[in-house]
Amino acid sequence: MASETIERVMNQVAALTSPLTLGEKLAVAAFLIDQAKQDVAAKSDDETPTNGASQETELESKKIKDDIPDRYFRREYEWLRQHRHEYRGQYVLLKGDRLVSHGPDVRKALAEARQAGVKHPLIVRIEAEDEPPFGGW
Amino acid sequence: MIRYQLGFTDLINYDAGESGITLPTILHSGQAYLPVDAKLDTGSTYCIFQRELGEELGFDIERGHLEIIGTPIGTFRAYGHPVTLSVLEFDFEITAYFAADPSFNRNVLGRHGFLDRVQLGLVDYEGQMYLSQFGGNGGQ
Repeated sequence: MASETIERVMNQVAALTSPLTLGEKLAVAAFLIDQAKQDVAAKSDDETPTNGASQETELESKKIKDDIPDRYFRREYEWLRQHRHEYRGQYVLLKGDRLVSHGPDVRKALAEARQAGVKHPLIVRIEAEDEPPFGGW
Repeated sequence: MIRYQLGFTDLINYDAGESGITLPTILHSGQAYLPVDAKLDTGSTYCIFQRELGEELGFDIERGHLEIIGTPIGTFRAYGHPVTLSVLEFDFEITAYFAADPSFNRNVLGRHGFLDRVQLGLVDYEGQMYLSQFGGNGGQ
């Protein structure tokens, strides 16, 4: 806002508040300060990305959401419940309820998936039957 | 008598019959992203992934921040790189560690980068995990 405009507004405020008592003027001043704080907070909300991610990340996330609408991968996990036992010791790459590729080498499986036109399958390694249970770190 | 209560925004059902508690996770860096299955590991200090995934995201693994990770039977080297970690509807900018050893075939969600960003409730008997972003609408 140009300085002349600010000066004009201040003159109007001075004229409007001139009949008021000191206490009333202070109440008006407090009101204006509150309004300014709310404006700052609203602007900050608009600018702050959710989940602690940057705006760039938000855009990327939107693109990913378009490609992967279900972040729970429900269809993939349902497929795994039914077929996991058939692919022990292998990587399975899934898109929805479709097995795109599988094998012991994740890079080869990814290359196959991409050749099949699936760029971003869910990558799951299915533990082998005789594999010792994972102990964590 | 219930003395404490937490609320959560998300519930995920995992296969309690499997050996670990897994979560669908998306790793992204720039334009590249990979959806992967990762195990929850409250004993792991970091989120650690297999080397190939880092390479697929375009990282030169050894140019990252070196950490020597301790395990009960020894140590292994892992290198940290900045990624966006997405779990369910949550996106976190974190340093993910990628194991130097290509034979490392685990993906784990550990404390720094995941557990310190969420509130978590587990009912393992029923294969249920409740989740909220820390400081979000759940809990508190």
